[in-house]
Amino acid sequence: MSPIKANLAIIIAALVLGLILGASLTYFAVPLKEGTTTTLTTTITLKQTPSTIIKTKTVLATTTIKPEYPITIVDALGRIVVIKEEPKRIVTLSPAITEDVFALGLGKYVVGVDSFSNYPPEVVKLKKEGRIADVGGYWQPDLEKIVELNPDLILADAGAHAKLREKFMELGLTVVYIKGGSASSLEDILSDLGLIAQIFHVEEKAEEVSKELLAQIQDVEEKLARANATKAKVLVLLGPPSWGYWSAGSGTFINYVINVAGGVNIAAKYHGWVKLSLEDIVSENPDVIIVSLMASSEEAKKVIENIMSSELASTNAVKKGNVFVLINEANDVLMRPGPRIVEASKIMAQILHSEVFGEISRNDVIKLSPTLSHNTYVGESIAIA
Amino acid sequence: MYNLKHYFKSKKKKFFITLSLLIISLVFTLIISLSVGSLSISIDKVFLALTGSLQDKRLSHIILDIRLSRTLASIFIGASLAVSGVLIQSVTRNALAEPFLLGLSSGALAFMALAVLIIPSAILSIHYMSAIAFIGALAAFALTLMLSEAVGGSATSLILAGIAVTSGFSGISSLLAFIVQAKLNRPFLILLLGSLAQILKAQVIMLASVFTVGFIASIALAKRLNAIMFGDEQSLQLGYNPRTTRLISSLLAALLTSVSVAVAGIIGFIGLVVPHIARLLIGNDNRFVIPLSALLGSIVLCLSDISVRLASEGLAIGEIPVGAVTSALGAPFFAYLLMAKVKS
Repeated sequence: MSPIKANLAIIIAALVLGLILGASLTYFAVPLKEGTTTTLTTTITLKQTPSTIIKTKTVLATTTIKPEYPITIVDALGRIVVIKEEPKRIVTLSPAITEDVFALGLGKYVVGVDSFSNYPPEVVKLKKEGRIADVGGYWQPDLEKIVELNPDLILADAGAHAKLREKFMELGLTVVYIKGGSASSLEDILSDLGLIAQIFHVEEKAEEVSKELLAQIQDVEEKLARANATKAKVLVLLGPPSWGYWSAGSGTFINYVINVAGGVNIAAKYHGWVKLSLEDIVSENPDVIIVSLMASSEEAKKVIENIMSSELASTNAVKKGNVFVLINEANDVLMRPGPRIVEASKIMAQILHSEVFGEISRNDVIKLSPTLSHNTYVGESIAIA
Repeated sequence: MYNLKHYFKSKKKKFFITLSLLIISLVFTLIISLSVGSLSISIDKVFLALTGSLQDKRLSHIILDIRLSRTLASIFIGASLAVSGVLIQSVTRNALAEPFLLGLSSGALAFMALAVLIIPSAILSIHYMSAIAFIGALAAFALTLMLSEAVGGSATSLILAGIAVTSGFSGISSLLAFIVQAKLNRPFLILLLGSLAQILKAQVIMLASVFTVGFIASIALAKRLNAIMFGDEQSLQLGYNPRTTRLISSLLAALLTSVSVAVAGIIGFIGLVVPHIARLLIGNDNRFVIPLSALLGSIVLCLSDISVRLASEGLAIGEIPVGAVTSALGAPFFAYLLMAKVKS
């Protein structure tokens, strides 16, 4: 036999093999849309060299598993959810979930998001164009709008949306809960990503994203370890002090961010979201105060002024000028338990350890500056200088 | 004698006219309620959906599974609260009395907080939480009743016992809520805030059946209630034991209110003011006041819920607690009725 004939024989054999495989797969009731396309691509590769046959066989195997539905998953509330077929119309109920879904490259399936979702920028654009609907606030989404969108999957937060579980079931909607706001570390967020990836069979993508995020966090941690940086005592205030000194204790993702960035959270002796007393804060004497604010930079400056003229003026943070207000994107990043927690950690690391990571200069991180100073503050800063 | 009979006849006529007017307005309110929401649906489509012949499956899903549950719930809760208001105001002979005076709401809240503290996963189920709220409300009521009976079971003792139990339980519930909030890592009170948005069909059925029982029993009690309003002595002379009347009526009121609290949280105003509106319309005869209160209560709460939906949509701020709207909407109307009465 001539080499051309041999090649031809192999090609024909492979085609027959593919056909048999395909037929047997259809027999086992597997939706074959993607399966058939892969057999096509394998025949193309086959034409080049016969040696790729073994390779293409494995490709065939892995890709034809892909559209295998129904799948059964266990969500963050411990519920067993059966996904009958690959979801094509997703509604996400929190900004962090929206970010998770887009990070996994599933953005094209999203048909509705909550009012606060604004990242990636694509979301804002699609919302404006009317291709993604707004399904209402984070705490109380609009059920009528959700039903109107006819979603085949709703991704919800185990904290905020648990009470809607039974209503979703009554309406015949498939909902999967992720940890979201109750996440306490990057690992929890990665497991959220993994859960979503499982539904869409994009585990590889989730692994890739996770590796990237973990590498970035490790980078921050290694740099801090190499510099042998001393840990600063940090107070994070959620909202302006006029709301009361609300902070994030242990078991929250904000606590995780502080730890990764080489800080000690003074609220960590409490569990969960906690309202601190002034006495508590003053006696702990934080080196850095960070305020998370949904406001303009003008208002941020006012908040700094308020802090400087309050009893907090006696803390090291105010004396050294280490008061930061995070607004807009910096605030979003810190407050959302999604993949950008890594970015939050980087911002936090820069704030806490400018000697390692360089002085922070972002217009959404407003720092106490001498121009808006207070008498005592000027006195102190001169003394330090 | 003839005069009295004639008087009753004219009252009866007035009652039936008012009754039919209110029923017509309730039907109108119901239809409006089904057509208003984040998606306004035309009235003819609402009718089509109700008869099951609407082609658009999603639209009929929204009308039948979300809006109808919500509307019926608001109607039954409004009616239940108003009827229990009449019962409590009659047996205590106090114009300022309301069903929550019996310690029901704070009892429900305290039990819910306690349950979540013991079994954190309980918060995940509306069914568990409403069952616990119901038990809590009834437990607080039982305590009030025991206290009141222990000191003689008079009208005043019932009010005072209610105040004691309410303040006791509200102290406990805020304390527990604070602990739960810290433990659960999330704002507990937001999870408990009553809302009609996620009412389930099973809850509507529960509300409807409790209301029906409570309403029929209250109508049967109407004569006893009329007697007790003149005083315990007079009631005894007419052959009705005032303590029995008080016991049964407050039990009924507690039942009606507990179910409402369990499903939709605390909704003020209706139990306090709607009975007064009914009395302004028809006088003090409870045989007339009870049905009219039920209708008025359901109309007020249904209208409030419609405005909640309109406001949530218009202001884009998410669901507003319906309890806040009932007062804001009902108070001016009540003031107007009061002024009109004083003038005449």
